[in-house]
Amino acid sequence: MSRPGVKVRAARSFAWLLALVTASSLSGCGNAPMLALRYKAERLMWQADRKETSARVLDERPDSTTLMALREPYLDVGRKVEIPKVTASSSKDDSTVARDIMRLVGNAELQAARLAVTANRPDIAIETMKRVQAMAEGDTLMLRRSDFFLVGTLRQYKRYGEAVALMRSMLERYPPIASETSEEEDAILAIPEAMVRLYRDLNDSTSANAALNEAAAYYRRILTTPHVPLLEAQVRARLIRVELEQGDWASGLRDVEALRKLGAASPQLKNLEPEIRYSEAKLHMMHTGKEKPDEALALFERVAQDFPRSPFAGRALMDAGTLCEMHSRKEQALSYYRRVTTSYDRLPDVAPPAFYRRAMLEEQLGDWESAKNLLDGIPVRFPETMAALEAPIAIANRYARVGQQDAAREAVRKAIDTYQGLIDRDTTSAFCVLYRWATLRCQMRLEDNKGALRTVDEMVRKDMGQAITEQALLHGARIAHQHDQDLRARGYLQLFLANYPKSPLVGDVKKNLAKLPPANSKPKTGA
Amino acid sequence: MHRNFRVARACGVEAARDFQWHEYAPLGWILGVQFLFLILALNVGTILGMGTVGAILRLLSGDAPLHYPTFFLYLPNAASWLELCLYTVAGAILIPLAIARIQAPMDPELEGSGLKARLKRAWPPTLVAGIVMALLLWGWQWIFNQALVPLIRASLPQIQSAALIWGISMLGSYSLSALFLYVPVVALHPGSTFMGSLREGVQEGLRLYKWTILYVLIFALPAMPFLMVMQLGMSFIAERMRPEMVVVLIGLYATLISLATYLTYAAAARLHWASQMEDA
Repeated sequence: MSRPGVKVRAARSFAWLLALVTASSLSGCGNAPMLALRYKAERLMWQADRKETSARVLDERPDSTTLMALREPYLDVGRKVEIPKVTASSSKDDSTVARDIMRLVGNAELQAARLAVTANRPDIAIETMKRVQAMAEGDTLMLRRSDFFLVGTLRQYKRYGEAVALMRSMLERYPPIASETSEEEDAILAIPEAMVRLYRDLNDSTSANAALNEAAAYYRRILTTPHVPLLEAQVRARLIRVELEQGDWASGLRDVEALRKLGAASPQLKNLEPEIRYSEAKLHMMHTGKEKPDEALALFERVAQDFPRSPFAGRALMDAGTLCEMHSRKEQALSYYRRVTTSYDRLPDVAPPAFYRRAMLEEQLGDWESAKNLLDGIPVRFPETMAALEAPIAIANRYARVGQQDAAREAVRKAIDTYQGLIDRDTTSAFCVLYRWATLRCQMRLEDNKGALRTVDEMVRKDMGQAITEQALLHGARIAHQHDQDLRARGYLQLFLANYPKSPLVGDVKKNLAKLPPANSKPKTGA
Repeated sequence: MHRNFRVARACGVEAARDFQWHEYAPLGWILGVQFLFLILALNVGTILGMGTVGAILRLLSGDAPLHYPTFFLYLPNAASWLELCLYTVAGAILIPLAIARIQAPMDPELEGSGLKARLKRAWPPTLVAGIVMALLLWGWQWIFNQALVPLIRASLPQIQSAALIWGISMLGSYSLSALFLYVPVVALHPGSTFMGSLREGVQEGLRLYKWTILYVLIFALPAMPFLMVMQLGMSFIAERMRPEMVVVLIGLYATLISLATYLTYAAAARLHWASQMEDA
């Protein structure tokens, strides 16, 4: 090896190799700089994701300091990768890779925003999402993703007004996109119904009804322009659901007929059949159910028999049970509810009310033990539902009805514990306000005035602006006044006027406020 | 038989004991190129890495490997192609050079001016033998995949069948490569011809087959676990562990197989010389 000839040959070989590497780096891959940048962004994203996963393996619920630290690797993606500018002279490949890089950086920012939300820093998260929106420019996919994320965050932080405004603007900005298969659906189509649900969760039926009308108008507007059959069918199916909720059976029947024709013309839409048949049955119930329930019941029964694996089977049985109850056919209704709770106990929209109604009927038909077991299980099985809210208090009501006052009081105490457990389970849930309201009702029933005022104070702190808090303030003022705490009562009424200026009760509240002795200091507003 | 075993064993032990860097150096060059490839593979996030290794992977498998961490799933395949090309093409000159340096103490003409002429005669048959061997290996894999793999998969549970398929495939490949091992050794003989080297090389491979296959298997044994992990557990490493671990594994495998190649040729060259002496 020490011979000079070998050294020369080695040097020559190395020079050849170097030339080969340089040549291939320059000519081997035209858009190598862009591809390398995308690869780098992907690697940084992967590393950030891995860091978060590892942290969560050690601690399933990391504290806010850890969460904020975990944001850093995600933010590094944006810091270390500069999104390339696409110009008119850029090739198609370059434009695609540049868009990929932008999406990667945007996605990393959204992940950082998600962690900020979890760390209870919505201000940082919302700021980040707005930055992503600015970055996305004309990339609709990125904008949509960012907007959906922002809506979720605003909802979580009870900025409902902003959330609804953003949802409305999304409906204007993003026309629905046809999906490739009938199992998928553009998330934009779910927004109008999400708005309805949001108002219902807030117990604001007036706004919910307005949102329902808005949803119908939106779907009808979409249907005025031609679309591919799958998208048209999906929009029409949603319109029918809205019309069913509105009780507009004439429009519903017309749209069901249109949907049926559409389904018949396109084999791709075969799986719409259960929904069409269910909608027909439900419309039939709305039209003739009061006088002749048997026809609608037969239609519901056939939906359940013909499509037992479809979620519409469970809905059909639930509606059949409701119809039977309307006509005081308790045994028949109970048998329908039993079928729902046995075979469709995982249907989120049907199972909780079915369990609750079944418990009510079991009790009415003499089997209190079964009814109590069902009612006790509802908050555990379906924690964020109206059934979970009503079940604990239904137990107390039953004891009170049969004259077991001590048992009734004990059940009310247990209900308060259940609501507290549900609040602790998820402190940011939209249902928390309802649980606090139910707690207040229980405390008033127990004449636990201190507890009731404590709950009102908590609602002032956490739920101000929501419709139920309006009622809570009035109850709080009454209790405080009855127990010689006029200053406190005055405070509640002033909060009412400051936060619910459009309430029809404003006049009465002002009169009551005038009757209270004047106070030297004004309480702070809770908004 | 007993004596032959003693001779073969002595040749193998001597090859391992008398390891010489200057004899190994030509194969070290191949390893160097493999390392360069792996270093560039670790830097695909740079223009140089993407323009070289990225371009090679794109050529072999399209756009899919240009993403992280998918890149590391495709890397072993690209590395094995590179290994095949290097040992076949560059090896056509470098392997006879390494063998010449191993045989130099036994054949003084292989030092100095005679070496160049011998190498000139040795590289064409070595290259052809390498290409033929690559084709035979491809043919063996194809036949094995068509005929035996479905049978094994149908009769054994998943893990056992995967391990058995891998084992048989490896054994078949090594058995084939042992046949051509003596072509560069014979091609370095004074007065060798192109066809003569190929014919005599294969004949020598057949004659000393059982000892040669033993050398191949024993010297390659340390590299086997790495190869097995690379071929059977790559997605686990790339997705669950650090994807860069793949590069470390390929590097370790390449190093061990490079040393195994040297030791196999060193032992085979000695065995060939010993059997020639015995015949004479």
